[in-house]
Amino acid sequence: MNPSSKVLLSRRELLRRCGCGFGYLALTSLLADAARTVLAAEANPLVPKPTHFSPRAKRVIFLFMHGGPSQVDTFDPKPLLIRDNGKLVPPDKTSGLLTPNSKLLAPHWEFHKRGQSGLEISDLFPELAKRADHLCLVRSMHTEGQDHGQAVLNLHTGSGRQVRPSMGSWVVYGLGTDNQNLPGFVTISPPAINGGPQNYGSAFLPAVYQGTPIGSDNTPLSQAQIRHIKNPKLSPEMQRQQLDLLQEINRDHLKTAQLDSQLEGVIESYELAFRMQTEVPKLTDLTTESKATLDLYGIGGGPTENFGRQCLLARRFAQHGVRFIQVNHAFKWDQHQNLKQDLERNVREVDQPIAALLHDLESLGLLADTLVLWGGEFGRTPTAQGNADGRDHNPHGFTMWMAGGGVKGGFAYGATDDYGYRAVENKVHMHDLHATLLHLLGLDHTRLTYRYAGRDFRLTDVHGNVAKGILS
Amino acid sequence: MSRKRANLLMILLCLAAFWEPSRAAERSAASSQNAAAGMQLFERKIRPVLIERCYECHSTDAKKIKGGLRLDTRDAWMQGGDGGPIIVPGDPDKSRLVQALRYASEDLQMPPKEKLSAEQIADFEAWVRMGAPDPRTSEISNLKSQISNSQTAAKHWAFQPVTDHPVPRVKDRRWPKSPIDNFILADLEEKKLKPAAAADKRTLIRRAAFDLTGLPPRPEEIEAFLADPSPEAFAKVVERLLDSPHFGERWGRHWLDVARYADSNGLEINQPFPNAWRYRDYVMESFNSGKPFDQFIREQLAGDLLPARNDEERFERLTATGFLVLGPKALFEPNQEKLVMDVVDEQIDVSTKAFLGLTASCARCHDHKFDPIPTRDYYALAGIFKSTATLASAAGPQSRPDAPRWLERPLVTAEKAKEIEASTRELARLSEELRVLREFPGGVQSSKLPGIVVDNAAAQLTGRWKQQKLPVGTFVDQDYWHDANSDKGKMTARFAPKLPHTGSYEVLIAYVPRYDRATNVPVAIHSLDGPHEVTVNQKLPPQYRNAFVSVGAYRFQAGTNGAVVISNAGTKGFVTVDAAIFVPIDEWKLELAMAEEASKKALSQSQSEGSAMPTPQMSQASATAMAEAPVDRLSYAILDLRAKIQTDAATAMAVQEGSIQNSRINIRGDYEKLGDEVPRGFLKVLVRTNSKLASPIDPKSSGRLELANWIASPENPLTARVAVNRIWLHLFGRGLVETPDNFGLMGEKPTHPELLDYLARRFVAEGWSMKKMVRAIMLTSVYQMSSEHSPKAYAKDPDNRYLWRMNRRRLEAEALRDAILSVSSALDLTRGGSILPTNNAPRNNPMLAPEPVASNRRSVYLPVLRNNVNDVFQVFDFSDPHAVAGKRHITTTAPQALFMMNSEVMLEQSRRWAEALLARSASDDRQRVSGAYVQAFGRPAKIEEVNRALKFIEKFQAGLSSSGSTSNRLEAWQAFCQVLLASTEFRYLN
Repeated sequence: MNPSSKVLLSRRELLRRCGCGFGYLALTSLLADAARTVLAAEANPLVPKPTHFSPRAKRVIFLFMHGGPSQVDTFDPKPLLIRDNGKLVPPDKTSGLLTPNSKLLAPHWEFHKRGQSGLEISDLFPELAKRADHLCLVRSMHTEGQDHGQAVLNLHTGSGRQVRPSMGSWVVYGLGTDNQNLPGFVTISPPAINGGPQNYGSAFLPAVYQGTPIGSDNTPLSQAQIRHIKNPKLSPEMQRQQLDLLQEINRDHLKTAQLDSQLEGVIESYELAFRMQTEVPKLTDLTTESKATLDLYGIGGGPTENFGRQCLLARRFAQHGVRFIQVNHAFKWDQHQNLKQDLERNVREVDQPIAALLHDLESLGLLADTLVLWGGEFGRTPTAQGNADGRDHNPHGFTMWMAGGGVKGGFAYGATDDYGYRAVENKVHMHDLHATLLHLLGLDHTRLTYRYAGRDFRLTDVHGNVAKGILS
Repeated sequence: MSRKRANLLMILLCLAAFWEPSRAAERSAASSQNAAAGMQLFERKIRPVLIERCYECHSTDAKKIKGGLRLDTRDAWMQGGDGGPIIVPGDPDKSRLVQALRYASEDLQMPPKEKLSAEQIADFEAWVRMGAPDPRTSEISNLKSQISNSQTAAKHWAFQPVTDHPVPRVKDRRWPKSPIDNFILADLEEKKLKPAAAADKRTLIRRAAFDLTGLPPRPEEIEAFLADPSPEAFAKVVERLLDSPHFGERWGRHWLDVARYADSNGLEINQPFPNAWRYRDYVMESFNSGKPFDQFIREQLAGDLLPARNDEERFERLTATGFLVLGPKALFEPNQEKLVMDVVDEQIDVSTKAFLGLTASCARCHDHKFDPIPTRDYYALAGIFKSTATLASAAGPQSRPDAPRWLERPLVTAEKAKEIEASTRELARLSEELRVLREFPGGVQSSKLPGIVVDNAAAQLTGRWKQQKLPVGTFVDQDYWHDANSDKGKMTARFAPKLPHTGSYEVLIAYVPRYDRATNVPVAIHSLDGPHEVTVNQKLPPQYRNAFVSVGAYRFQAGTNGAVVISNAGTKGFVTVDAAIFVPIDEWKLELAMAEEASKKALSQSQSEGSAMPTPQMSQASATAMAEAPVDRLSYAILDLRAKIQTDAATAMAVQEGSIQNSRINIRGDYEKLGDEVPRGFLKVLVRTNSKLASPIDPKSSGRLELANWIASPENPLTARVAVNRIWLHLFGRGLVETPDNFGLMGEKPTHPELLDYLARRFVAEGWSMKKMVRAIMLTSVYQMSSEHSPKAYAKDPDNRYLWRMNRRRLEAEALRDAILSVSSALDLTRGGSILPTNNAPRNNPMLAPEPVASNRRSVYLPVLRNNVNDVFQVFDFSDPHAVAGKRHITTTAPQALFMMNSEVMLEQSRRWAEALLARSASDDRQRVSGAYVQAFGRPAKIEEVNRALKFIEKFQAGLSSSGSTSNRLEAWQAFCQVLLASTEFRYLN
């Protein structure tokens, strides 16, 4: 909410003056805006809310690479690992999964300095590498959970063992959302496994803050839609006719009740839903985009088709005031084997669309206040798994990157040890990442609380430090 | 907090466990002579450093006090951090503070950003050696002790015994129907508020019907109520509804919210709970049967330990303990101890919230921040649940992902146990038979045949025969050949035996008959009698052992000269070749005689027993299978038997006594950092206020039964209050205490404390009867008020805290769905049982949420799948079933509106309803509209409403472009019906 839209009348006062309640009030031109604002604040928990301090980003696009992408093959160059390829882990370097029997496995791709910043990125991501000057690599991520389930939940909710609201829910709870005709938190093609809907659920926060799924990770996005967004039978005109009767009956009910913000809220919700019905399909219809844009994202067939659509849709949501947008790349990043082949396949699917998204956001002037976050639930070991061309899970050190609002571009933060196994320098725990994300959005993670069962809960529980070093 | 500091914290906490106060005090005293010098040192060297380098995180003024440690008063550091002291006065080497300053260990470095200078560290060492003299004794008292000061906190209203309050006098003597009304009215009068008028009868019966059964009143029930002028008319309605089995479905569901009931585990391993429904049915039945609430508590916490008069009662009580098992568990957690402590925590959480309205699980890592629940108390409770087996211990972390990891206990009578044993034996026999059969899919083993056998595997082939080995039909050993009905004249199969001696042999060939076989298969027999050819009709079933037909007796020489050659020359239809046997003629005669005997016997047996028709308990599938291949028949029989065993061997999620132990404190909630062992026990704050609650725990038992008795005691100040508050909440939309699961210091205070006590007293006095309490509350003026608005009252009390009117309430998800299905007459009122498919894990992947089950059963019977709650529930604020939720959120959202406008449920049910309305041949359209209003709103439509509806229907019908006026008419009526179901009047209770 724009704090300058001052409403001098208190809600109650307003109601006292107009005994008939807001439903009618909203229709009178004189007070319509003021009333809407008050009503909105009262009845609609999604209206924009003030931040704790000045935000650096207004919205988040989170590109989730489900499965745990390898850091040493992508964003974390380790010369010693390349040098010692195929050797057993030296006794003084054994640690956790780096057992004396495990063999070091060098990346299959060479690292090069990119852009003006000279940020080192491997050849695996050719397109993204061209945008290196936008990227803020956090090479010292660490988290909890050796298995996907716990780690994925940790990433999304800050807790792998207890049911907590997802970060998108927290963000919308904290900030509300700009476009009331759209959900505040959408997740595009979310996975059904590893906690599934819990990863965009609101847990004990009111359900209004939960993420709205669009499709799932096993259906092409071109066939996906928000639940119940379209009446399968009626034309919009016929449905409006029906809605008019409904609203008349509702208003009759409100009239007998004289005053009831709940009933007014329902009446308002029908209008909102009707508007959403028009807005959402327009937004998800990518055919209105130019050929050049579609080409940019790689839409029009080929491996980039689906993720390209996801990214373009994310951009459109960002443009239209959605607060938290998650884009999910299917559970394909779990390279226990076929590392070379499968990573190349994955990158063929996502590299161009992600680069396109960054470019597109920038050219639309959106990148400055959009935080783009990329990463998986954990990273992978620098050692080979068995004799396979594969790597095991590694929650102790991995890379995620951010771009856009409030973070340094062309910058690498933190470091892992010599082989890229454990984060050792400027470590950023998942809780720290959450704290940083909220910070960039203008929220103090220690103050964004919700009282439930006698306790004030936070996304970061009792943890979390803002990684100040990455702030621009 | 940085990792490093977190680690320090752990160490500080560890230290607490080894702290010995008496010895430390001695040392402190011994070194007190140096006090003056010490003070000087403190003021000059220590205090400045503390202020500059430590206070940022370790003082009252810190933004956040890290590790619960303050260094700004002597008392504060003496008490230490969350776990205990950090300075051993006189002994710097044993003082963790000094070790931290020295950066002695990687995990223990303070200040975290930069080490103090060597000189500064030496100062601290000297200071500690001197006994750590510190003049800051009179400074601000300890924040922490202030908060958790049990003296103060123990005075909190909810921990005080329930007391009798005199029924207040009121000015308006006519209004109260019950003492409950006096309590309400006294407050209203004091606040100069007037209670709203009584609700009209239609409003009242709709309210009562939904409140008690979650279903709308039927038109005839409304009529009967309207027609009953007696003052007891409403009491009769209440009585009828309380007696309805739907009462338990409605109120049981309220309890299931509290019990975080679900039919799947949730979290990452979302395995279905195939037997959770038994607990659900138990809950509903408990409400229906009028089970006293204290009994209900005892059964859920310790039903397995209660005596039972018979099997039925024993099973009921076992099932009740499902309450403790239903929680979400991190089933993939490889560390068993961690998993166990998480399960214990969940049990403490659900038990204390549900029955006591306390958030005791907050005390897992530190003393409860607000309530007088120290960590010790938490681990006293933890010992009780740790001594209780909840997980199937046999199943280690690496076992099959679909094996249940929680405990299920058999609900089996001695009689059934015998049956199961017999079935199990039979199952073993059939399985062995099947195994043999699988090895010999055709059902005939060559080794068991008489004579010399030549299987097709040993035949010499010409042409391209195709192998067939599916267990369809009867054949010898592994397989048989067929000619694919092609290459006629190009295929032969020669069966050449190695005969032991010269003589006469009966020759039989095996084939697999079917409708598409050739009828004239040429078979040539090469014997001493010369070549001889016969033809065989393979459409006919072979007689001998269902596999062989005889082609005659021939003389053969010993050795390998003889043979049978089967060809497909000149045939139409498939030719199959399987085996040939050469049976010495004497042996064959014997075989024939035996076969005749056997068939006679079989015939007489089947006549005496009736027939070989399937027995009644056999499934349809197995009946069909009787006629099929033996392998199928056996497989079906095995499936049937397994199903029977499964039904007979019913199990319920339940607990049992485990290895009896006390728990040690997990410092900061970390199962690896162990502190003191705490004897099993209850919450001290409640014991302290009432000595009758201090019953000892039998050292040989977990203490669960004692815990249950302690909770269910009339002396427990919380239990009855929490229970009646929950009842009040469901009848008024808000509890007397607004936070039903939290009666602690952070919970809301009661709006009517005396009424709450009155109800609690009465509840216990009336035998903890839930039905009596519900009835008592409903037969009051306050319940029967209208929800009408009053500007005057609204100005004084906009939130209606004092109940000057009835609250307008939204139908919850279940009531809404059931009401929709009820109006459209689709609702299936079958009671109890499970509709969760036994294998509900999609693609057998326990990491996927099970699929919601579609059904027209009442909502309470739809499986509650964590992480995959049915649409209508998710949209309409059904609580997340992972956690206790005594009160649901009430949000108004666009997705709800979209659901009402576009969902399949709405479209289907409104269509169904429209069809039913149009099928009322005795009605005209005006009556149809009015009837629909009665069904939906409990009142007839006004004339202008009828007119408006008909105008809408007419216009809508005309607007529809599709052909056929009948279908247009139906669609227009459907649109109208949907409007009624989507309207606020339908969705809310006035």
